Amino acid sequence: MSQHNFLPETENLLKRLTEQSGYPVSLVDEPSLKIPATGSIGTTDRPIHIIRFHPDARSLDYLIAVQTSYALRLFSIPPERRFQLSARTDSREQIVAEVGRLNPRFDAGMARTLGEQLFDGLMLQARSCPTGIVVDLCLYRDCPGLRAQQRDSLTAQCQQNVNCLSGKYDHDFPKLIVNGNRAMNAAHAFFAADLLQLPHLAVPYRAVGLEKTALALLEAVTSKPLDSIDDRELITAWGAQLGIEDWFAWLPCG
Amino acid sequence: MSEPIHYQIDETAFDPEQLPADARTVGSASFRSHVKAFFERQYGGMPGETTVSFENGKINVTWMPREADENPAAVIMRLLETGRYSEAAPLLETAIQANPRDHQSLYNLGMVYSDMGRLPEAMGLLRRATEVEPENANAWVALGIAALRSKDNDAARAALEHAISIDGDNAFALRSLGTLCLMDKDKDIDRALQFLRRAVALLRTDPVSRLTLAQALIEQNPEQNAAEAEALFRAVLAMSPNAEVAKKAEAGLTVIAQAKFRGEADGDIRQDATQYCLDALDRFEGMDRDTLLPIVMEMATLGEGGLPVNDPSKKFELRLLPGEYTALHIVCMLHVGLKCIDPDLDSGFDISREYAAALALHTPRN
Repeated sequence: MSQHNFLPETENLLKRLTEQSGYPVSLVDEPSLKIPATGSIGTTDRPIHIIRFHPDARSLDYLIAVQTSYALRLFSIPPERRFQLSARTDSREQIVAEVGRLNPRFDAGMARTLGEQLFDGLMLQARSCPTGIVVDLCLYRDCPGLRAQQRDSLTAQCQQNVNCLSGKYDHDFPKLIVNGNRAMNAAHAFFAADLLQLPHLAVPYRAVGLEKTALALLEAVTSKPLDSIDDRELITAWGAQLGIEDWFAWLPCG
Repeated sequence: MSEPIHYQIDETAFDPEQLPADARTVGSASFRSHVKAFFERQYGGMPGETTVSFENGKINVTWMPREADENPAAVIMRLLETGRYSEAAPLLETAIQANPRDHQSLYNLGMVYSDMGRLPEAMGLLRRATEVEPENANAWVALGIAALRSKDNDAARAALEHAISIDGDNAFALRSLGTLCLMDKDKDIDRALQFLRRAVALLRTDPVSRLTLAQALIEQNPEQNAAEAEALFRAVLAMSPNAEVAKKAEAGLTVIAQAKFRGEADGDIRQDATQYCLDALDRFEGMDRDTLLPIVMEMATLGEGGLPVNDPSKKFELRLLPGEYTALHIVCMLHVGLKCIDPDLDSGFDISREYAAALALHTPRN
């Protein structure tokens, strides 16, 4: 288990999550992790929240605050309104089949592996990007001590995401995947540019004509008071705009 | 904002709405001139320089902050120091284009490509670096390491020995030569130990040289060298508790502990370990995977720092299984827990005979 000294804001969020959910939070530093941090929300069957992070990750307080905030959002609503996003098998199969069509040199196993990775990747982005923007707005408002790390982390994310515009895989990946990924990255960049007052973060997406798409997605966040946003409604609204609404199946949280 | 920005987009992906009607033919001179003007306008409010170039149907956009413009080497160093190789690489390439004999950039880009696994390019750049400054030992070391990674042991040895001929106390050359002696088909452990001991003495805070020396000692004579190797593995864990080397040090400590463990049991089954396995089988019976997994994870995390299985006086606490436990007890519970989750999983600790004995003695509740 991890023994880090976190900023008071982070400690406070972790304490709130334990109090609100009734489950402890376990922080695990995991050098083998391929991403900076990830969280697994506690359930009645597994009554512990686990946040894993890479020990070399930059802006660690901010990353942990984000994972904690995702869980806090779930426990801030009544149990009967808690749902988790799941994927529809037929939609996944369609993407697998399309990857096979676009890449005739792949055998069936390779097409399946790649197709599933792409599908799951976009599902994960659809689940985390819109709610992540809400989480970021709340953190910016409520945790000023984290703003410097938030700025570094969002800027780095934008710099990394911009690779999606290189066009390298445009002919190999299904259009829904490529366009969905770009649209969400664009929304994230326009959001970060506005929040941090760093307009240059949005320039690459403006150059490829994604400004309108990004602002339409952000409308679902900005058109309501922050504290009244419902994650399920928000994700569904983004799904509809991205043309992947029928990929989603909502299941009650265990 | 002080970090450089670099990205690439397809010319065909550029939004024609951003351009005058007569400049929308992709690839035309007018198109390119207006695209360039668009980016210069967009970054115009930021103090720095915008470069837009066109190559193979792609638009390359780079924005360098003024600070970087005045001192590009400092910005590149900052990117390299923070591991942001993919951002540093295009800046280094630009520097080499401007001055093909820029030793520092040849050396740095060679190291970046070597770390990124682009080994033929790395070796080409590092060879050029050694040609520009043949007396620079570090460039020879970097070339040797890239060759080592390419599994070209002969080229690696030549480069590293050349580095040592220039600077006999070059610790990284010594460390790499030590590693090379262990990798050779005809291993020369005695020679490896000589190089590695000198590297350890010179690199007072380097875990890699200590890890390699410890592994060489175990390979040479595990019984005779156990104490020295154990001290080195523990030093690695203290220096880099979370790095990849720590996992290897833990594996080394496990090998030593297993040898001691078996030594104490004198080749027979250890009764205390059998009892602990039996206790764990009782505890975990009926638990589903999701309940068991966090418990196992907590024990595994505790074990990351190395558990003193031969010291019954030291006790540990677990949050998810209240009580106090010896390290051996935790290792046994971890082993059993992993087996309950998936019989193919293994704790890495050699208690399979004790586990088998406990299974034979265990009476399931139902």
